[in-house]
Amino acid sequence: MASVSAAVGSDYGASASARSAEAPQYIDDVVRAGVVATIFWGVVGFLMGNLIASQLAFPVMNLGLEWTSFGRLRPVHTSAVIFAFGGNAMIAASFYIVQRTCRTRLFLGPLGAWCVFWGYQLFIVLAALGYALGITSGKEYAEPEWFVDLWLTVVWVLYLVIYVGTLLKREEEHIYVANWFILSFIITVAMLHLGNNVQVPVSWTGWKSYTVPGGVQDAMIQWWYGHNAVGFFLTAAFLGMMYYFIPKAAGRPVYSYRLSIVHFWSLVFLYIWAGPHHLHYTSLPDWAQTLGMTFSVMLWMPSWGGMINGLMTLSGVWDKLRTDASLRFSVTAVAFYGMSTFEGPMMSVKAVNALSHYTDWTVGHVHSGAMGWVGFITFGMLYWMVPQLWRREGLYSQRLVAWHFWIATLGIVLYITSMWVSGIMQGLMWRAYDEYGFLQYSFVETVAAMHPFYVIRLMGGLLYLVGALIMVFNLWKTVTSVAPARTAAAAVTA
Amino acid sequence: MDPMQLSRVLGTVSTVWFFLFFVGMLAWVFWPTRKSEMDKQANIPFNDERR
Repeated sequence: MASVSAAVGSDYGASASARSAEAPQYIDDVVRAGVVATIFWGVVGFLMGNLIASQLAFPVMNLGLEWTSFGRLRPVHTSAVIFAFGGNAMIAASFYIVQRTCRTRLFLGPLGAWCVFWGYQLFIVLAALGYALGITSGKEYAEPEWFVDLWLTVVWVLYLVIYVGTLLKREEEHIYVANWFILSFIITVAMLHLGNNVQVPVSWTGWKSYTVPGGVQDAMIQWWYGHNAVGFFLTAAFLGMMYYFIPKAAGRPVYSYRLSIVHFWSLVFLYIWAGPHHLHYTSLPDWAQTLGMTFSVMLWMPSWGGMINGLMTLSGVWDKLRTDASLRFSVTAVAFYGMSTFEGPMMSVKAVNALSHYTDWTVGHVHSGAMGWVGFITFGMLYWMVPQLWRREGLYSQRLVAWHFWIATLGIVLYITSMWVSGIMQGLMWRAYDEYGFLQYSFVETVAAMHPFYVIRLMGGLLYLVGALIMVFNLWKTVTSVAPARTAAAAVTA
Repeated sequence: MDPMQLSRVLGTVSTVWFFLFFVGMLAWVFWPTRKSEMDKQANIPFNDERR
């Protein structure tokens, strides 16, 4: 790989070696902490997902306690996987990428980065404890109450200051495209967080608050937030990860840098308008629903352009997929990105949405994106980054990576296929009429019909968790028992 | 100008502005002389490896 990347970058060879004398010491302690936190919260989040999946299949798993009931633990699961697992993965990835593509240390130094890291962990713990105790604003994916929201705002602004500050003091003339995606994620999440949490506390000593907008305005703001949490947190941010780590792991630059820039601008222009597709056939004005649908369908183009760009980066080195199981994760993630961004626009079409909305199909769609795209691109990054960060010769076991890959892939397949069948069946049962025009099925009949699929989904989730535990073991052994890389240069190109 | 009128004008102005920005971006990205520069920029992830 060393020879490949040296050949690829021959244009820069001379100037880069001239700069080598003052190569900066990157701030990597906080990145290592971010990796550990990503893995820890990932396991917690997957475990919570399995627990609530088991509650849907077997209600006794609610344990008869308010703190362990589905309604309390569901936001614990969603926040743990999105904000704790995904958020820590992005903090680690962004600090790693921005230093290396700008060839400079983080603005504000280690202290600032550690404040972001620990501040964010405190946000996660405060939010999760609140959910278990019933402290929630009830807005999906924005459940933290006002005092937690204020704390996150402080942490996030510091994150933005560090990121922009680092970009401003860069040694590289151009800002590499991965940073554009990550910066758009940081800015947009700040905007969404403030926009969707305009709320007035009932008192300064109590946790309860009410949002200022009411009715359909509140619903629209909530789903403007909700869909852009998908678009900018789970998509743009992780595309930044894709645009850095796939070229690094494949040893060649991205297929088309021009396409990556078109990908960026078309993605950020279109995603921001797609939220109303969550409110089809509600009291939201019809024109707004149609607007949301239209922009969602248009999103096909940047999504597939980006997918092609990621996949074509491997042209000429496809054989690496046979030998490098961690690259297999990243590439399969891009394939899942393509699949779920095909499914999403289709489901946003009003006629399809009439069947799919409020059913398990939506749950399956979200999980093909979350487990297939966000999860796999993160696992691919972790397998590549851990030997680099801890300066090891390589991973403890490639065979275990392959086991993780196949077990997790089988888990996702079980999950999404069971939810397709369950969701479409549920939708069809809800709309079925008998010969006299009465509804053919009572609600509880549709619930009973879903039971076998809930059990299959649980099996899929368990497989995904088992895969993650294999990764924990493999990465632990990599850090503790693999020989150190002989030189710093070897660690970089291993 | 009352708020509703202002909102309509801003809606039109921003639609035209976004469209022009986007077309300008496409022209900038695909301008033939910029190709070699961008091929170099694609290699930025590898610049910090060769020490």
